[in-house]
Amino acid sequence: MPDTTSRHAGRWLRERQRPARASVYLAALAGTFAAVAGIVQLGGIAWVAHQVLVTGEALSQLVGVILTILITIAVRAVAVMLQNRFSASASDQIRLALRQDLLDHFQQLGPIRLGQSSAGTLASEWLDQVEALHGYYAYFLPQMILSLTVPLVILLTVAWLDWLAAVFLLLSAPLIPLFMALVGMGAEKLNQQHMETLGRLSGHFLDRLRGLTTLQLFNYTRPATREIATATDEYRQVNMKTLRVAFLSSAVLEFFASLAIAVVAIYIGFGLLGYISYGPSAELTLFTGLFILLLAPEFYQPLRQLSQHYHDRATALGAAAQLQARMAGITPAGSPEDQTAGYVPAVVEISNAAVTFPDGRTGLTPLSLTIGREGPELVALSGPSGAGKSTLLHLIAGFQAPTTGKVRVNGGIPGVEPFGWLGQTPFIRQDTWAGNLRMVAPDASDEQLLAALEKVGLAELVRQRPLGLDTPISEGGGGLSGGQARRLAAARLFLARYSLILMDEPTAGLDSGSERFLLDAINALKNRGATIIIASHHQEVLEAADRCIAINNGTLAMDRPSHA
Amino acid sequence: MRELRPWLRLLWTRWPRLIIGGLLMFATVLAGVGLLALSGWFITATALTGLLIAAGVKAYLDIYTPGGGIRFFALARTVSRYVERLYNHDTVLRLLADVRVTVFAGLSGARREQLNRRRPSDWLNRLTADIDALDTLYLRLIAPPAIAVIGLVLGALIMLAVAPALLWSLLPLALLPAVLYLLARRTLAPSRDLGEQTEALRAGFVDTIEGSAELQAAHLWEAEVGKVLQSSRALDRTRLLVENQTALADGLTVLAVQLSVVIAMLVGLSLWDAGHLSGPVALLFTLAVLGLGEAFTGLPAAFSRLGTTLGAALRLNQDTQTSAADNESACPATGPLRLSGAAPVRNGETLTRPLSLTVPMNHRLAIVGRSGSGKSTLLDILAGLHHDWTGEIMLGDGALSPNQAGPLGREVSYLTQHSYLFSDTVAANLRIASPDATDEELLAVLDAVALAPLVKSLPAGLNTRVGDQGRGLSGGERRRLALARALMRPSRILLLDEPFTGVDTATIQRIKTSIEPWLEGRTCIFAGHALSALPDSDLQIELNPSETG
Repeated sequence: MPDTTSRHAGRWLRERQRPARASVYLAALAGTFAAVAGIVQLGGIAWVAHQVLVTGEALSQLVGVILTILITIAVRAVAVMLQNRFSASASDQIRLALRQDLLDHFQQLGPIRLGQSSAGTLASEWLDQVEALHGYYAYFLPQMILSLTVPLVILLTVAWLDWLAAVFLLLSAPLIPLFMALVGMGAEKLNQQHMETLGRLSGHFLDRLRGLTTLQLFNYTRPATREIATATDEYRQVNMKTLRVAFLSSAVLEFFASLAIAVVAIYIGFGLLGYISYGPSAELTLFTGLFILLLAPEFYQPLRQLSQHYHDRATALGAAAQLQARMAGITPAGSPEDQTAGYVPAVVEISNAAVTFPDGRTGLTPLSLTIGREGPELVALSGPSGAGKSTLLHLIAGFQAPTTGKVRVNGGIPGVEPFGWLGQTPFIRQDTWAGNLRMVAPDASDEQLLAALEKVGLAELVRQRPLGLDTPISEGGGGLSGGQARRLAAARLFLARYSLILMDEPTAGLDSGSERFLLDAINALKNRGATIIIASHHQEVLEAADRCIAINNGTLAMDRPSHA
Repeated sequence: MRELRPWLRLLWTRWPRLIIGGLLMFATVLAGVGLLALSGWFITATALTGLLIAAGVKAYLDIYTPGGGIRFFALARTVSRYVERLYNHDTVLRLLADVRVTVFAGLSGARREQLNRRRPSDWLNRLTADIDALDTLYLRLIAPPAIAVIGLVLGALIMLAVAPALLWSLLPLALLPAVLYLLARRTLAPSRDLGEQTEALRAGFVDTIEGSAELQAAHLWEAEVGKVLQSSRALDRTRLLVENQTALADGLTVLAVQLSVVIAMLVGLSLWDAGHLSGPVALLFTLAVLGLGEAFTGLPAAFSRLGTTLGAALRLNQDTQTSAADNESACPATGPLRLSGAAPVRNGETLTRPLSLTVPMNHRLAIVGRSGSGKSTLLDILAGLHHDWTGEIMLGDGALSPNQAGPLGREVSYLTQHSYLFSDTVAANLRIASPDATDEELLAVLDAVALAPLVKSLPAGLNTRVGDQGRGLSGGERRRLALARALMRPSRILLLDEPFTGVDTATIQRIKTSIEPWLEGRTCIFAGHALSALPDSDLQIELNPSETG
């Protein structure tokens, strides 16, 4: 049900407000204070006009009042500024906390579950959807409070001046919740319709942009440009039909605000002329009349502003639903294990470990293995795709907890000590070559960096660049090819001196040159005395290994030294 | 501000709409001013007349004309606001089309390297955000100050005619735009770069997520994530700076508007005292200035957008600034294709051994090699998509030049390794290759790639939509539709890269012969992992890993 989703999202939005609740209330307080200062100022203006025009006092006798007006204007300006500053800071705090929580959540998910969503989607959530909450916290939420407090203060002031005028405003007061619902529905529909149109238009435009190379190849860019214009025009016509109705709701609010001024003005005018003998109107003066007239538009102003920020709420609700779904179901990546197991100085020890996935599929049946007890080994895990070799690798990495059984690396829980990982998407920072290498070895000399690059065949490429190691990686167009990126990650393995290195299909889908260099690098790493475990079905990797372990259907199919 | 010039020119092509929209906005402001001013006059007049009546003086005041006026302004404000919103929304949607068409036309001459500079998705994100910023250039940035200034001028003219001393009251309002502009300039530079910084942050974030296995293994995740969060904080600080400045601008606007109101009242009352103005008229001006102030309340928000809009305009100007070289005269494609010691280069590394061979006109060459052997890049070069190679490549008498702007245009038809289908109908996807093709011609080529039975069985036939990026079709169907499209394009050279990916062996055998009529009379170059996966050819070369230099 979309209704419950939006209600959940609304509750979530309110909960996320917690870290900045003080700022939100301070913003509302400053806004109310600005309104009160505004009331005093308008009263002052009405008073001066009355004293001069009716009582006949000279302006020079009213210096005190005029000074008070000027001071209240200054106070009002400062209060407005503070309101906006508190609002901005509230939104900033909330977004920061949310970004931090999301990152924590991503860490808890671990690389395997994180990999199930595209990095682009996660980036859009972490950046754009979090940003989409800004209007809600900075504008809508404080304005929501103000649209209750400010009309109330004004109503009380008017009632004190002339209760009949207050009744006019009050008569429209029960309508205010109705207006809000009306405006809300209208704005929500408007927003929905508008966003849908924009979404479809952007979809069409993005589709053509993504396929731009194809359009170029077929010499079709000019007709495609015309199509963009036609599509936009068609959507525009459809959209305008709905907008005609949707804008009506805010027109109704506008109409009542104008009507209130008109009715109040005419009532006061007739009262002042003595045409109304009923109620308090006989006591009306220029002061009270003018004051009430000046207050009437202010009564509706907060509500009008709220209607302008209604789309912020709709946008935030959409983003909230998505973020909420992302953050739901935070479960620790592994079941907590007892850490009191006997210390065995073997590198990797797996005893009766089995994995069942949340959807019921069997990842691994109970399996026991010891790797590296006799000293460093190069172990190849082979088997058809989906057979469980990646799952086994993830167990050793600690990215996946065993459902039953135990996995120990150097006697401890996997992942407690840093280890090397080489997968298909290595981490490349937008930085220099040196920066990308020193991540793992901050104290390495330039010579050491170049020596590591030499081992993966990238040293020549770096030496060609004028800035050498200090060349930004992305310079000169496309950055690195997939193969070069994996070789750079392999160079890091030479610098970091890990005792355990895990590789997940490191040669899959590479160009032949990169593949050759990686195979050489794997051999060189083996000779340095690290325990290396590689999941691969690449023949040359299997040939380089000391030991081959084949996994099939989640069970150990073969475990034997390889005869290279 | 120069960067906005081309976009302002674009806006101006719709000047009648802009002016009508502006007038409607102005009418709304005017009705608001009229409502307040007339009410102020009415109340003062009735109060003073009421006093006279109470004092026993026989006084008369026409209450029906101003009463009617008040009701008129109340209604006029509502109606003009409604019409204005509707009309200007229409304008914005039209401008949106204009901006997109301009950007797309500007990009359509760009090289592929230029388009894929960074991650294409990051770039597209940034591009759409920038386009959005320019869509609302008129409504959010240009119109509000324009309306405020026009209102100010009109108010000044009326005051000049009635009582010039009242002009003092407009001084704070007149100074306000300049002060707000000077204030906005302080954050111009940082907010101009927000778009680029967001793009960089997105790239850094995606890098971190994609490298999360390696980072968590090496215990570097927290450090890297900390860096990403830090750069997001730098962006937040800029945003906060702009917002705090907007807050200051909002405060200054309140100050200016209310000061103007107080000055208007004091001057008006002094003029009344001196006998130059009646009491009701003095208050009419006071309230008119208050009404005029409403036109100024939108200025801080408008000025706060200046930096991001300028940045967006600047980046879009750069994106669309492409050397629009003439594709047609680029390279004559008649005659043989000759490679002499040619090898594709990517990121500074040579991908294949130097190749030397000649493909006579209307002959067929098959390039066989594993994935990553450089064969796709070789085809990209021949199509004019990749511009980095060593050695010499000749087509007939002309040498291929790395300065070639874009694809070789009408000489080459190319089925790329990853073909793109548009979110449109089957027919529309095919007609990109041959816009005037009849339905029979489309069905003929679909028959050649064994897709005709499928298409005919669909209720909408050729007008079936293929879904976003062709996802409504299976992988093999997508491939065959893209193949049909490449075959349909009339060209002297046909490049097919792995034409049968995802197609089962039996169908491949069928298609190989049925597409023959489309291959005849053309120079064809096929690339694939094995000869069996390619149509028949006259010449074959093999690119093997062991042969890499």
